[in-house]
Amino acid sequence: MIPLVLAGGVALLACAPYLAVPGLGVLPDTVGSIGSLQVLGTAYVIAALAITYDLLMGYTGLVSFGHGMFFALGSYGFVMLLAFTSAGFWTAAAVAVGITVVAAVIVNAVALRASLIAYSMVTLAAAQLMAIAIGQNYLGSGGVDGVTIPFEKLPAGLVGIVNTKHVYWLALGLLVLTFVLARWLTTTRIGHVWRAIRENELRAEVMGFTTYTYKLVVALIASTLAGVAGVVYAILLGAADPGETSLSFSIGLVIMLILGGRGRVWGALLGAVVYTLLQQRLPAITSSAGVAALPDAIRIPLAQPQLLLGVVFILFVLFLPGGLAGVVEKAIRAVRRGGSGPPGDAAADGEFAAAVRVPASAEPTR
Amino acid sequence: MSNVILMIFTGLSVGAVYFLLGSGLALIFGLMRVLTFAHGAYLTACAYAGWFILRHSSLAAGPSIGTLLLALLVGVVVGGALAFLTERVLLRALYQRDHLDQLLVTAGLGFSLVALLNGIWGPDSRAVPTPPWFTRTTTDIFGAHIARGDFVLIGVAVLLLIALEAFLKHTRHGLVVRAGVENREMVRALGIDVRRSFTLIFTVGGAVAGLGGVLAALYANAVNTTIGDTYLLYAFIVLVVGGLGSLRGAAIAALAVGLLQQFANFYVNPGLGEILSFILMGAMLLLRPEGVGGKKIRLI
Repeated sequence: MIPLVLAGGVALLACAPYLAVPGLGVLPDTVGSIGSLQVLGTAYVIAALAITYDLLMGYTGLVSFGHGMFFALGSYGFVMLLAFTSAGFWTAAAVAVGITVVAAVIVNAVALRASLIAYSMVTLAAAQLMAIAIGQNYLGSGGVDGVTIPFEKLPAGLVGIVNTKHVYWLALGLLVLTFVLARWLTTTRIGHVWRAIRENELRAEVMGFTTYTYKLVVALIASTLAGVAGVVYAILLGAADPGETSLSFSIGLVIMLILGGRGRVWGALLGAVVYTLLQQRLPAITSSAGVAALPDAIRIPLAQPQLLLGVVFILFVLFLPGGLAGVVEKAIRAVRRGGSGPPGDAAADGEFAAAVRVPASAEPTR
Repeated sequence: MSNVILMIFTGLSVGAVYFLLGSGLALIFGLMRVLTFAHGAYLTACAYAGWFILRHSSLAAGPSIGTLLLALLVGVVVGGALAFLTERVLLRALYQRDHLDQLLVTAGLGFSLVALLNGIWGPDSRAVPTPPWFTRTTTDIFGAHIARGDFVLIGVAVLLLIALEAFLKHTRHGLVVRAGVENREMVRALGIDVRRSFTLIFTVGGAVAGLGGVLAALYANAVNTTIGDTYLLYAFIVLVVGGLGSLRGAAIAALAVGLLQQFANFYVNPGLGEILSFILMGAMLLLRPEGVGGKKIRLI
């Protein structure tokens, strides 16, 4: 049932470039327009990134403040290889992801030696190193301007406004791939160990799991996928953007998870899409004539998506730690309990069941 | 030679602002185990508050001493008030929960506060009028021209260090704070309401950050909404290198980071100073998690 619904949803989204449905203000124009595809594509890539971050923070409890760094490494590696070397499209993409993997091994192997808050601080420091290097234009990384892709080196199908739908499909493909991979990983044995670490690392350790290795694996998977997402983002944007390395970008990822619901793949997806759409569209909506007439005290908060997101984020931490996904799941459960749905269905909803039970006890002792 | 002297003073002044923010963070983390991201935003907000007071004086003549003191006072009050409200309204509700939630709330608050300032005054830098004696009058020390502002910043940081040390050593509140840093559970078991110390220390941290914000705005002659983030990152370095709950450690770390930054940037490569500072922080976390302050409590 659920896979069918998901496949249907993906098929529908894949048709978006041909849909002339009005965007209702959420999107800049009709759904199939160039502007809307661009906004949706951005939301998909950011959602894929948020899912990789959920593996780290939501599932394993590793709060990194430098996840944006690996995304940026993918972007910058790819764009700079294209711009400054003779590497072709596929070589540049592969080498960029390779660079991300190497950096991820180094940073995480070191940072995971420290625990919890210290891990956050080490990842923060690592991301800042990259932000400074880019800010200072080391290796031609362009300072605040970023680096633009030399478009002649991209495959013809990805260049130009007419081909926006191809880039859109690329972004959608990335999201589907990341989603499926993350769903699968979190239901495997290794995924259960990740959750055990989140709930109680000492207990997982005592049960005989080398938690360091499991943490390193999840960090590597998340960072590598983030690097791939970075490459797609660079194609979508036509450039590598220095904002990706900033502290507020990485805090943005945290906000997405809290908004959507951490420890759930589709929660991360939901949070990221809501976040990105708000951030991209709120300024445009609030600069319209109707809002401009409002007094300052109302207009200023409305025109600042960050402010709205920050306040909503605080309220969610205080009152809705499960995020939007938690609310939806509670509603579904209430409906099922009230209605006459087959009881077996609830167990099939593995995502939810896994999120509520204490995973350490679910793991067979040996 | 004059270059070296100049850089020592510049490094010390920058380090002074790092200390103003970092000392608060060190006490807060030491006592409450809360890593706060909000204090960077307090610093920015107070820099704007200071600018708001100062902007009415002319750029050429600069504000009078009275206005300057008023701006500093407003910075302290605004910073303290913001921190007080944060602790009472947001953090109190979360002491029963994970430390992560407390960190997240302060991060969200910082994020929102900076967005609010962006909404009101925009992302562009605003010029801050400073008295001519602050930036333009210099004193010669071994041939180097040192601006008076440098002495003010360094002086304020030293006075603050002395005042905070005296407060911790000679008052009853300070005694509770020191005891709380050592062993919070024991203090609570003795029937002392340690949450009152939390409020106090969080507020003091905010007030000191506010003072730092106004001074940083004066020193740079400008404010914008990103200064808090930048200083916060260096305050984290000061916190980690100095050790939690250790004021002297924070002072040494702030001094070291300020000087390291100036010298590496000038003699080797712009940006290297910042890079070395973050490498220093990473190395400290991994090799000596208790910091130079020397207390054997791990930064877990």
